[in-house]
Amino acid sequence: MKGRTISILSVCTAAIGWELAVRVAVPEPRRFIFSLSEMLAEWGKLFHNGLMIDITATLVRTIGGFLGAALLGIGLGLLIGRSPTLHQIARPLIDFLRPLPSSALIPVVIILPMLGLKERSFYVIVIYGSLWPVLFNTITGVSEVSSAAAGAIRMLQLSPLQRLRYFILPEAAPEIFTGLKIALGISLILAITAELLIGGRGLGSLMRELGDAADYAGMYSTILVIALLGWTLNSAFNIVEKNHPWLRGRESLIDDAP
Amino acid sequence: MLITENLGFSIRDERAGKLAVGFRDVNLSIAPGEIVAFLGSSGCGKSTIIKLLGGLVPPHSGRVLCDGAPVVQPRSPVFVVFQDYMTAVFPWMTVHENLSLGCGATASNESVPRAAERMQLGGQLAKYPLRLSGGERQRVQLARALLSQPKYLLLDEPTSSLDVDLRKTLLELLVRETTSATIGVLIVTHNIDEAVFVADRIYLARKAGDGWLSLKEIPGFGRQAPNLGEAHKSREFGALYEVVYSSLFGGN
Repeated sequence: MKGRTISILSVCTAAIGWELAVRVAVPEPRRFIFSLSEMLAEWGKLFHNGLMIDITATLVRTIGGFLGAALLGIGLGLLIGRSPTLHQIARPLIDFLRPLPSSALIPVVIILPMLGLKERSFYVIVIYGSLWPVLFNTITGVSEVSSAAAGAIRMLQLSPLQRLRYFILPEAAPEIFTGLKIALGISLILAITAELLIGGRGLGSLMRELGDAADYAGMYSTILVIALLGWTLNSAFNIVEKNHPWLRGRESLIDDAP
Repeated sequence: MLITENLGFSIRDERAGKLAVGFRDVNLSIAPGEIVAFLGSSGCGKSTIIKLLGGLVPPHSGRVLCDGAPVVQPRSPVFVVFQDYMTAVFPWMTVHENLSLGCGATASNESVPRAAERMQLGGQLAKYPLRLSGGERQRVQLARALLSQPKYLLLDEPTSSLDVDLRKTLLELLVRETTSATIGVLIVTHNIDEAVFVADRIYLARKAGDGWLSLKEIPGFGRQAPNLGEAHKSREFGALYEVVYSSLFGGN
């Protein structure tokens, strides 16, 4: 509870600090730098012009792409991590593609709509970029099993499906969840980047349009919306993670006394 | 009967240029309802024997037979309880869920609360293993093993990381549960007291100078006293203890 009070105080202090600093240091009429209250005042106008549609578009692309990457990453990771042969074949490819920075995808972002993919091109970008942390962490998670646990599970003679559900996935869950969390962040980054470059509806495109129209207050206030969206997604993920049955009994997540 | 026929297995420590673990022509037997101890110092290959008997590791020569059928992989009449209860009891499952795995992962099984009660885990079913003490976790592993209704139970140092009180409790529960169900038990341990008191027969394992294991079979005290404290007062227990001690650490 004490930690939460400090968090709220720190956010409030930053907000008030920003407000006061701009009011004192930047003379009116302000053109490039705005106080918090001025940015928040822009929200009314943005809402009127269909901000919710843009938020929804970005959110659907982010979550859709993230779920695609999660399914693909966990599925492939399981196959590769559990099969030494597949691991040997796939590992050099993964090691080659994984360090590729997301910004290197920009040319691809520009080409894909030309190939007639349109809306699907957003998903291609988001899934490609956020796949790696999930895939990599799943492989690591499912291939490292303590020998006593592996022996115990062999003794229990479970079916392959039971073994997956009761043992392999839960055992790897901490690694997989770390990968998913990184992937969620990347998904939002790439959804916004793709929107900036491709256009259409979405917060990325909105931000660019407002900037092009020299409506900087509106542009900043869109950035604020994106920041809030990222924070909300991250918080939602933390709640899921904290309450997930595979992680509930783990040491790192238990902080209250028995 | 769970028996080994001329069992052979060896691992060479290439760096040290000597035998790390070496068995040849090992013949052991465990009958239903009997408690057998396998006593030896650290590093003599005690855990390896358990893995071979449980079908977790294939032998290099000879074979393991369970009621006449060769054991080539883990199968239901033989169940191994591991020394490392920290990972063998799964941390992502409650005690109830862990125990359910012993009877085919059916959570609604009525035998789970009963088994927990018998192992003095009645109030712990909803807890996660992290909330349990070492002794409780080891009892979860034992209860889970018993739920799978084994005919032979192989225990790898079941009490090695428990303090004296918990050792006593675990041992008493083990004896009560296995003798009432006529389960054949093999306890692998380095604790002489425990082995002599609980076992009907004892295999004494000693690493010879060339690294190969030499085995000697002697009778155990077989729980003739109500507890270990009482056993210590008995002349027979003392004599057995002497025999075991000198065989393991003496010059002969």
